[in-house]
Formats: sequence, structure tokens, C-alpha cells
Amino acid sequence: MSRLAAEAASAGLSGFRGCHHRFRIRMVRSFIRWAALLTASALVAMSCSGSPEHGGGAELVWAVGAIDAKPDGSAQAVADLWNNGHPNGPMVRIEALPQSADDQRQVMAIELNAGLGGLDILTLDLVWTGEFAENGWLADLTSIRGQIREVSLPAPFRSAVWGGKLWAVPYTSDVGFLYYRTDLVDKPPTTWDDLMKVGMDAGRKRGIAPFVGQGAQYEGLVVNYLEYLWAGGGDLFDRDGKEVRFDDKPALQAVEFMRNARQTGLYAPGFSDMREEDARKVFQSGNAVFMRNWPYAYKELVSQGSKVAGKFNIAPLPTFDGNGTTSALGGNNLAVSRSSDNPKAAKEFVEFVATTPGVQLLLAKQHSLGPTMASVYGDPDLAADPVMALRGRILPQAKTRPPTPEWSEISDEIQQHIFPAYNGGREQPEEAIKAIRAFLKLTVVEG
Amino acid sequence: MTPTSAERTRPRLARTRGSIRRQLERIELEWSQTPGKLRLARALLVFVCLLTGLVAATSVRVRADAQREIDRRTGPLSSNAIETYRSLADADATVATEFLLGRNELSDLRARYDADIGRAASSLARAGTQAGEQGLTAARIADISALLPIYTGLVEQARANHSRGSSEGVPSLRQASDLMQSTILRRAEALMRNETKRLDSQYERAGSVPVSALVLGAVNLAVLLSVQVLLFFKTRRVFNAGLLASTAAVLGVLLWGMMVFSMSHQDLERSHQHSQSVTDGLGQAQIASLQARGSEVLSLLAVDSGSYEQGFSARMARLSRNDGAGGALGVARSFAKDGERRASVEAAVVEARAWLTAHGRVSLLRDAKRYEEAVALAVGNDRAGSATAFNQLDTTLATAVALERTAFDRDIGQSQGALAGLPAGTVLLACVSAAGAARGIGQRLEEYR
Repeated sequence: MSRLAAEAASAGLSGFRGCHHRFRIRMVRSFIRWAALLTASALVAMSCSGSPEHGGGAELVWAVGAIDAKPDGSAQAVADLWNNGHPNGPMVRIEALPQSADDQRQVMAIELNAGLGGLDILTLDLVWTGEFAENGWLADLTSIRGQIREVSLPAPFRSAVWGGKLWAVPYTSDVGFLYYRTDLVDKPPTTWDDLMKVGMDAGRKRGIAPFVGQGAQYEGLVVNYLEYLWAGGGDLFDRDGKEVRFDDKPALQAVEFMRNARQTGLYAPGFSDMREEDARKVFQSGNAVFMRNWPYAYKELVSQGSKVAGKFNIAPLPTFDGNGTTSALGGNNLAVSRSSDNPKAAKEFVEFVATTPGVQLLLAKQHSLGPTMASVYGDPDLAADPVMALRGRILPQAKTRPPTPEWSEISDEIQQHIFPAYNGGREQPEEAIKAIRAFLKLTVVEG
Repeated sequence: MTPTSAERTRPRLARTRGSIRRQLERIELEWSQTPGKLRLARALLVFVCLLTGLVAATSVRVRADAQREIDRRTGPLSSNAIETYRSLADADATVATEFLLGRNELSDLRARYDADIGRAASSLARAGTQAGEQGLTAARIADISALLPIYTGLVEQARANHSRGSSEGVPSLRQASDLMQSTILRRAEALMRNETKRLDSQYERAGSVPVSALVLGAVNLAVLLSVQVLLFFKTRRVFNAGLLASTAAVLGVLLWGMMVFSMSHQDLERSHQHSQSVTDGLGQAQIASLQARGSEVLSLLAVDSGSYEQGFSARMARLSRNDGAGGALGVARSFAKDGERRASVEAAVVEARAWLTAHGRVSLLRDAKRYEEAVALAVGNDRAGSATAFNQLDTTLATAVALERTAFDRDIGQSQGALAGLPAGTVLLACVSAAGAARGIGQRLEEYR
């Protein structure tokens, strides 16, 4: 074989050598011309196909829930900051999604699953990280992991990580507050038993309910239950999310406290129908001693029509042994859609939002949204604001709900068992805990 | 060569080692002489031809089996799951509508509700037997099956209250509807997602490129060609009938295989698209529209229409965000490649828009406390009413889904048909090529006798 090739080559060369030298020059020149022509056309062809980033959308579409998507809302303010700094584009445009978190998730799920490129940046409830990542809907943000880790608080950062990779950036954070009536209670209780005692006394004296929180059968119930669980030192999974913990003692203590609270009247009547707004309204009309709610309620409670303006204060939630505090972490993260037309710019935008103090301060000062950047809490204006100061105190001890892809089903399962267990349904606390544990084990096996 | 007594007494290992060494020496001896080389070449060729045939046939078999699984099992299961979800959502919307109508119009709706519940129950039963005992899927199916009688019980109670004229009628209906929407349907959705994922991985298995078969085929050809070239240099004879036949057989298998496989792959991909068009687009649109209808009707029944109104908007956004640019119809549009399917998706988008407009009118009437007119517009036969718009959309979507399902069946059938005969044919041609190689080299060997 090789002998043949060698013979052919030598034949060619000898042929060339055999030519008159003028012919040789012409041959060389035409060869060069052909080579140049071919190279040029190849280059043109390559540049015509172009890179998707240059051709991609001239705008970035940011999906935001209806409340924040208003023209004078927080999202537009952030988008304006970016747009002013990027006059040559790409500009960020807000796309309003339905109001409730569940509905937002549904709309995004349908489009992301089919790979529609209509949404570039997504506002995700922090419990969706695992699910969205596992379904392959998010772009991997490992390239900016270092920068994000450096500036963000640990719990919000952890809520954006799944399977060892960074899938979102922290955007806003929320923690649970204990609201209490200053005209009825001397100082905020540090244990739940104290709260029960003080609350029942004051409630009886005034003829109002001791405590309101979120007891309806929805995610809020799970948040309330988890806060009792964590307050007793328990948890659902271990740190890595690989093994089920859910020990009997703290799990039972939590649900039995709730059951007791309902039976003794610690929980207000109608507690099992209450969500955030219902609880706020009861407290705002002066009909409760204590309330568990998110910081958003504060603004309403100090406003004009509020019956408790000037008569209440905020504090960290109690625990069972009186040490420290705990709270469920709420809030939103921002992620980049994997089917985005312009992922590079989208990643720059989310990095901008998560690491620019100006953005976080704007969210905090103008829109009362909790920052996720550690440094921002040192700002003197924020430190002077009681709500922000308390957020800063609680955040380091806040816990995230497990970022597993099966979270919505686990939440469903917990709701289904805890609700009847505390609300006088046919389920006994022990059965409820056992059923939940069995379900948790199933998710770990299949996960 | 029989072993001598001395050899027999040697320990077994040494004997084996000795025999391996003797084999190698024998091969070296063969290789040093032309007839030996030829014999080795023949052995190698026969082995390679048969091996290629075996590997290729197995690759095709595996993929054909995966396709059959899709056709018989995973495909139907996935549409089963979506049917369960749709039937349940339809039942809920139908029951709510009952409450707005007069007594004599009830029988149709009752029949529809009963059919829905029956369909959901049987789909669940089928899914249950497929899923087996363990695992998350089985737990979900068991949950839904357990909750279904609770739901139907609540519905009966609500109906009884309503016909008695009790004020408990609507609240108990809301209870039933809440159970369905927030608990049962979420489980059904998880079930649906699971089945779709399983189908997707089955498709991946069925459509993967048979790399090992291709590589072996190329190696086979290379070996055949190089043997023929070497023979040419040695013997100065170009054509060797046996080896040529062998090469032709291998080439034949490769070309036939590649052609048939790419045809099958095209059909397979198309069937996948049709299936996805339903699970990710049209099916989702059906569900979103049914849930929106439920919200619309409940907003007229319940005193606090606010949350139901919000629910309606959210579900319409899920159906068709930005007038068909996004949402389930946006997805369906991205899957609709040809004119007919495109047309039905566009029609659905237009009908969704018409429904939104009609609903706007219903809301206005309701908020102005003109309840009777609002109800009439919502459930009556008024051409401009929301019942007409919803029913039209429902029909368009059902037709489109049926079209996709027919197309899916056709394409998966064609894809399987294309592969028919390939495994057997591959094995046959592999034997032919082995035989040809043996014959061809055998001919040359004869010249050395």
C-alpha cells in the first residue's frame, strides 16, 4: 500500500520537476490562487453561520410574578438599573406571570419543558431549584459560582445549589417573624410554652385570640410545621439531603404542640383556614395577641387604617428550649433558562443583580424586600430600620426547606397528614409521622 | 499428537502452558509460510464476518424491541396518565356547571361526569398494574385511587344539599373542587410527568445510533479489502469470486442497514414529536382550559369570586400566554410543523382569545351583581357566550389530539415495519460473507497443494 503511495508521489514530483520552469511558476501561482479562493469561501461560509449569541434576542425577557411585575414595582426598578447601564442593549423586559407561586410554576413548567425560548430569566421560589434543575430547565451557573458565594448569605446561597452545582442566584430573602402586642405583653417569649401561657392569659383578659398563623392546607402550613420541627432540633433530611432524619421526638413534639394549641384555644378560631393575609387581617384588627407572619405584614400594620399601629413589635420566633431561634427561609432566586436565546447576557444580568450592592439596597429601601447580600445589612440606613435589622439577626439561623426536586410532593404529603393530625381529623400524630417518614424514604430511594 | 507418558505425568498447568506455547509456535510456523498465512487470514475473516453479523443483528433487535415497547406499553401508558388527568379535570368542571343549570338540563352533564370518573378509574387501574407494587409511582396511583371515592362522595353530598335548596350546597361543592384541584390533580400531574420521562428515555434507547455495529462493519470491510489487495500483490490476480461475494454481502448489509435504519429513525422521531405534541402541548392545553372553565363557573357560584377570578386568569395564561406566543398553545404551535396541524393550533388560539373576551363580559355582569345575565352568558347557548367559546375550544383541542394520536400510531408502526427483516437478513448475509471469504481463500489455498 505505502509503496504505491510513494510511487505516486514520486511520479508527481518528477513530473513537476520535469516541467519547464516557467510552467512551474504558472502552476504554483494557479495553485496559490485556488487555495486562496477556497480559504476565503470557507471563511465566508463560517462567518455566515454566525454565533448564536450575536444573532440572538436583542432583549432579555425576565419572568416575574404579577405583584412585582407592576410598572412601579421592584422588578422594573431593577431592570431600569441594568438598562441604564446598557444603552446598546440587550435591554431587560419584564414579563408578568400569574399571581400565585403555584400558577407561576405551572406556566414556566409548560414552556421550559418544551424548550420554548420566550423566557430568558426566571424568578423562582427558592424551593423550586431542585425540581427545575433536575428537569433540565436551567442553565448551569458554575462559571459565576465563586462571585456569588463570596457576597451571598449562606442559607440563600444553599437554596440555589442542587447536586453540587449552582443553578440560580439569590435575589430576595424572607424569614418568619413573631409579631406581638406591646400593650398586652411585656417582652417577647423565647419558648413556645411561654408563648402559650402568656398568650392564653392575655387573650382571656381581652377576649381575643392568643395566636394566629398559617394553618390552612397549603405550603404555609408546612412552613409553620417545619418551624416547630426545627425549633425542637429536628429535621427532615440530613445535611446532604441523602438520608431521612425526621426523628420521632421532635417530629411528634411539633405536631402535638399544634394539636394542643388548637384544642386549648391557643390557635384562633378559623386557624385551619388561615393563610398569610387572613392572619394579618385578624392581627391588624386587634383580635390577636401573637402572630407568625412574614415581614411584608409590617408595612400594613403600621399604616393608617391599622388598629394596632404603635401597639405592636416584632421579634424572632421562639424555640422549645429557649436557645436561639429558627425560621423558614423564604424568598426568590433568579435563574437563566436553558433554552434562552442569549444565555451569556442573561448570566451577566443575574450576576449583576446578585452582586451589586446598589440593586440590593434599592430592593430593601424602596420595596422592603430582604437582601441576600451579606454586606448590605451593614448599611446604616438598613440597620436603623427595625424590620431589616431583625431580618439580619434571624437570617444566619434560618433554614431552607430541602431543595429536592420532589419538594412539591413532599410538601403535599406533609400537608395531607399534618392537617388532619392537628385539626382534629381522624389521623393520630403517630400515624401521621410514620406516613410522612415512609414517603420521605420513597423519595430518597427514587431520587 | 498423543501425549507421551512423560508429558502425561507433568502437572496440568505446565502441560497447558506447554500447549499454549506450542500453539503459538505453530501459528508462527504457519505465518512464515504462505499457505499458513492464508489459513490464518481465512480464520480471521470468517470470525470477523460472523461477529459483525451477530453484533449488528443484536443492535437492531434491541432497538426494534424498544420501539415495540413504545408502541405497546410506554406510549399508551403516557397517554393513559394524561387521560386520567384530563378526565378528572373535566369531571370537576362539569359538576360545577351542573349547579348553574336548571334541573332538566342536568342529564347530559351527569352522564359526562359519570363517564369521566369511570374513565379516570379504569386508567388508574391500568396504570396500577403496569407500575407494580413498589416505588413512588405506585404510591401516587394508590393515593389518587384512595382519594377518588372521597371526591365523588363530596360531590354527591353537594348535589344532595343543592337539590334540597340548602345553603350548604355551594360550600360543599367548593370543598370537593378544592380537594380535586389542590390534591388529586397534583398527584395526577406528577404521575403524568413520570410516564412522560419514561417514554422519553425509551425513545432515546430506540433511536440511538448503533455505533458498535457500524464500527465492526467498517472493520470487516477494511479487513476484506486489505486481504484482497494483499492477494493481488501476491498472486497478481485481481478477482477472487469468493472474497468479492463476501465484500458484496458486507457492503450490502451495511448499506441496507443504514438506509433502513435512517428511514425507521425518521418515522421514530416523527412519532416522538406527535406524542410530545400531546403530552407537552395540546394535552396541557386541554387540562388548562378545563381548569379555567371550573374556575369561571365557581366564580359565579361562590360569594368571594376574587380568588376564582385569579385562578381563571392564571389558567388562561397556562393555556395561551401572550395570545399563543407562550403557554400550552405556544408549545403546541412549536410542534405543529405542517399546515393542517398548524391550522388547528391557530384556531385554538383564536378560540381561546374569544373565550377571554366572552369571560370579560361575564365578569362585568357578575361584578355589577346582574347574576342571572352573567350565568346565562356563561352557560347558555348565546353565540357570544363563554359556554360556546369554551365548547368550541374543547372540540378543536380534542380533534387535534385525536389527529396526533392517529399520526403517532401510524409513524411508530411504519418505523417498526422499516426494521422488519433486518435482523434475520443481517445474520443471513453475515453467513454468506463468511462462507464467501472461506471459499475465496480456500481457492487460493488449493493452489498450494
